Amino acid sequence: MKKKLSLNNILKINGIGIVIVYIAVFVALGILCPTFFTLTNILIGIRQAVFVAICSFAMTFVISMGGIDLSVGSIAGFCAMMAATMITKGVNVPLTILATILMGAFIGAVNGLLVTKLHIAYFIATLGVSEVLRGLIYVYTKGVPIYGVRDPQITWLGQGYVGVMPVPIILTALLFCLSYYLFYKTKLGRYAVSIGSNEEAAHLVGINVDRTKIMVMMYSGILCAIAGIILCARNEAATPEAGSSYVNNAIAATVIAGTSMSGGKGNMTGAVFGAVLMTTISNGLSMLNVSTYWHQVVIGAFILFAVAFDYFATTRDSRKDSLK
Amino acid sequence: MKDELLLEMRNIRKSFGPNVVLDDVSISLRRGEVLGLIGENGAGKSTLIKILCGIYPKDSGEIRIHEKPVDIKNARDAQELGISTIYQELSVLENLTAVQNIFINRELVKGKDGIFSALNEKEMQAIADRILHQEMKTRIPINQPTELLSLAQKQMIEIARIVYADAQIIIMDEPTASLQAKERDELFKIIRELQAKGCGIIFISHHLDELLEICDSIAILRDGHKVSEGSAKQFTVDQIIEQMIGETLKKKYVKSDCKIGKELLCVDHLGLEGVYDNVSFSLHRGEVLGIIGLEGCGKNEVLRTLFGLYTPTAGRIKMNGEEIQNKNVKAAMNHRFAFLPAERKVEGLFLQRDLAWNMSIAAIDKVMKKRTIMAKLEDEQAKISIKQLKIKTEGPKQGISSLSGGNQQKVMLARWMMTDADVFMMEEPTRGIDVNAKTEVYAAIADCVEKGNGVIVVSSEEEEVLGICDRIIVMRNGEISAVFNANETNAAEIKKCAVRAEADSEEIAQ
Repeated sequence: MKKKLSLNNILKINGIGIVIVYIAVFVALGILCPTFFTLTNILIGIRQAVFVAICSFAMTFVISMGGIDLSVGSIAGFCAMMAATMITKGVNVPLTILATILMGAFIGAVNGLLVTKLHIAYFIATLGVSEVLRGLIYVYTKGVPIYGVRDPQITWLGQGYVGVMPVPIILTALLFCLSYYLFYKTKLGRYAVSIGSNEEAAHLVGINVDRTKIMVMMYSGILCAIAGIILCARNEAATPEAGSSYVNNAIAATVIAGTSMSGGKGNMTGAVFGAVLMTTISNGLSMLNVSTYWHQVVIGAFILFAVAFDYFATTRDSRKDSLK
Repeated sequence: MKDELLLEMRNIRKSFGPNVVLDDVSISLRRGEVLGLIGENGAGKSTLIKILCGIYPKDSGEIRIHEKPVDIKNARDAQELGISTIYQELSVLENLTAVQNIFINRELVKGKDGIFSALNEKEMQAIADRILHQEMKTRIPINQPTELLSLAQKQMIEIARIVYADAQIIIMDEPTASLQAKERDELFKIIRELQAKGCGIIFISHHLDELLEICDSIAILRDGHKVSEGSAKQFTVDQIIEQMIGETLKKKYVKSDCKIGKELLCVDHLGLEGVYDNVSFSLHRGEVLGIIGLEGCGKNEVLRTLFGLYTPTAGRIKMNGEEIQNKNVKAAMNHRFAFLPAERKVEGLFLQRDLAWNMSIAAIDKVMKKRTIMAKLEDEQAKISIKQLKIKTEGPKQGISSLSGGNQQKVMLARWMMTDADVFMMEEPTRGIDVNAKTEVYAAIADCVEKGNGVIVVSSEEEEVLGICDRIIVMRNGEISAVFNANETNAAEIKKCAVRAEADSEEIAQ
């Protein structure tokens, strides 16, 4: 059976909408602003996107499972603060990273336990945890940023290069590969998406639903902790409001990639495009001298456009059928 | 007033595509009459009712109310003509009070009616009090959330809603299915009062003895035709069963003639408090065992207990002679049980996913190498199952939701055949699938026992269990009322054991 590479077949691919939109935006910006196409510019765009990208890997996992994690930004912020505090207090870097990642896993486990054992809805449980964490950051810092994270071992994570490649991009690529593998190739991913598709059926084929949920929430916590560490390393500091914009952007990146908010269908690859797309648009607009106030308007409209486009592209056939 | 014709449905005909589900069916209902509508699943009862309620359009025929022809285009038309239905699944909103439920969408307001008008609470309270306490003589508190009430009381509220709306024609679809005996008596008392008020009632139930108790007249449907009608006094339960079953078309059943092997599963005095009790049976390799009974008889719960979804409160389960405990689904699967639930789409399928995903999910380890799922292996496995079970599909990557019901059921079978299960438990394996696909599912079941597995089929169709099972257990009210060898019994005998009082069935069992 030979597959025809017709436009129809291309449009059927899950999440293809986002790729087309991305290319369109990219080309349009390139035409409008020739300097946009330089490697440095592209890398800058991607480097700005790494935090949202990492959070959107977590979000793709959780949303495909039928949940949502509103605490991604607060976990990143909390872990950034924790890492900054430990480094400035003289704790060595590997230990700091390990402890921070464990903290992320622990917070994720709390989210998971709230959802499974106390039957609190994802939205509420993670919103509550998010508020508590952000509050704790302010309690500890009294609203003052923690400066002076200057250990070269840690700043390399945020500012270093391997050849022309910035280290944060390499780390993000590694996390993407790990997330991709877990999501598509392991039982964890298989079970999570099955739960998102039909929790009752998942239970009836012997899947340990609660354990899967807790593990996915823990993975989400770990990813956010790493995003927090990179953020702290890049800024050489941790600000109290660090990471507060990640939730909305990570959800946006996830859904414009074609992941279904009702679960059962996720697109890990698309999440990368989704995250990069938003910073690309923002950068492009800056280079075109559009006021930053307008960026948000354009990005908001783009989210709506991309999701609608994906819907129309992927459901064309079924809608045609229903009209018959 | 009593003999006035309330409703007539004349020569109603309805087909879905090539399937004629109602052919020239006529019924009539007088004031103060309770009409029992009887028929097997699929005989056309619910289609007829849905036409009356405006949910389906009729192909031809006439509906007359008060001897005037009417045109019922939608549910609203039906409501305005005074037709109301009480469904088996109650539509009482649990966090609202009785008063709020009775007046839902018909709220009384002070002054001019509009979405912002103030509610006239006092008036509504008074009316609810009158209907529920004086007319219906219940003691339901009218200002408490209804979630604390019993099922029967909720049903009363639903009836009160209908009384307030002044419905003339009341349809009750299996209203007693989940009621206790005492609650049922209360319901019957209310029905008598509605009758005295001049309402006409259409009563649907599978419990034939209570149907004869409450109904004045009955109409029996079979395969879309009305086969009999008359005063309820003229009929006995046996006669009704005969009319219901008739000489139904011989469907193609497939039965394996493989030899029955040694005992696989032994269930010993299993019980689940308040649901079923004293259930004992055994299952052998190469055997298909049928469990049949009315809704609520406990047959599904027995299977679900074996699959670890309920913890039994009494009795033992032995597998190959060794006592086992299935504390959860995983434990049951480790003890080599498989379970195909009745509600395929709700409890079985992952509708957003493809065929291969749906097949491999219960035995995912078999398509893994080290800790990685091998897409190629999964694909190959799926292709083998597709060939083996003759599943009509484009291939392993086709979305499961675009498959027909029969093919979806075969995917479910394939899913469990991929595990190393010995005991296959299936609820209503052919519900909602067409005749040809049914035959193929039966063939797949036969295949399954030929491999030396044991199969337990829970079904509500006598013909089906007679056609594919070796032995048949009949359950009634949470107990086994009879056990038959399939070739030594018939549909009428099974039906009797399923619907009749215990005294009769014991006689038959001897």
